[in-house]
Amino acid sequence: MPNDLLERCGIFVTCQIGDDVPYLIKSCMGENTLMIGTDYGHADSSTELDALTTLKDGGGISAEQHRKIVEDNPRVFYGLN
Amino acid sequence: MGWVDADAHVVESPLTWDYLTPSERKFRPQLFKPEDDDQKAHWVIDGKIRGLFRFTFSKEDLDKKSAQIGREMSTTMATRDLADVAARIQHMDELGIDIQILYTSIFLDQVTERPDTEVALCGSYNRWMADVWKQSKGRLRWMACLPLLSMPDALDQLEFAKENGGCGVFMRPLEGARQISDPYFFPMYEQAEKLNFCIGLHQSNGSAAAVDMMINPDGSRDFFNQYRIFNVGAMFRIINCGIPQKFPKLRFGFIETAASWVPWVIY
Repeated sequence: MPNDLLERCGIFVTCQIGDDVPYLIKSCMGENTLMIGTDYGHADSSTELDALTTLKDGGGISAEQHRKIVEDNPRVFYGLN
Repeated sequence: MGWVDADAHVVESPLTWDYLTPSERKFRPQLFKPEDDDQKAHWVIDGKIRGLFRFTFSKEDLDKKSAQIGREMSTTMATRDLADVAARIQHMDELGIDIQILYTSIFLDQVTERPDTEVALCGSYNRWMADVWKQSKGRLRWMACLPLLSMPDALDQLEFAKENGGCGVFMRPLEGARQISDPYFFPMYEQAEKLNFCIGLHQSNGSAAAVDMMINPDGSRDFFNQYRIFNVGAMFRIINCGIPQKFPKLRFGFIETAASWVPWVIY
């Protein structure tokens, strides 16, 4: 199973603070398919307005990996570049 | 460059339906407020309660909830329903967010089986979003809600979205009685690919029958079985049905479903 299957298929996934993001990066997901969101406007188990900051401060990932998740990857996925 | 909030929401309000064309005003949804619940109001569409309810939490409710569970979720109604776009932008600045991608709330559930109703409501929603995008000076981008019951109208509204700040198509893992691998959707996938639009498969369910079947015995919602698990299956289905090979430049996103299950599906 190629370890870049998701990237080859053009598949992106939003993670949440409860996910083991370092493990996901090392597994089949790599660094280029993860994004994160706040679920702003709702108030349920997914909602965390500080999610992007919390991931940076306590996600166990490097600054570059954080930048990919909160900047590079969503800009590619949503065609913002 | 700056931070992108890859999953944010709007909460529709009566303002959303001010964008109906004159001939479509007969489809205007009404709000029903339960007597015993001040935290939600229900949309009445075609004479029935349909679509995801409108969250009407006060900021004070959310301040208390945030303190109780240790996660910040406090917003005002005006920032949620974009009655005050400037206030939303200011809050984004406080959170360090440059761009938010807006997903719907009402369309997370199926709103109708009638193509004419869906064309009207989606058109109004998409025109509202276009206006919000302009007011935000590009900091609020949005996912188009297309009337997929009528493919010609869906393709028209896709073009409109591209020209007016949209950046993708919102889809549900079940769309009525159809799976997302259904060739019925291929004309839309083809056009989205040409327009460099992604497909955002947000945790949701476009099959009212499936949602009703999976409700808890006491009538309460079961977000995992009614919504989340269908997105997990959708990833398997997209890969297994060869959709990436058919549309090699089309990107699919799995939104608000967390990610810990992905290795399980892939392996």
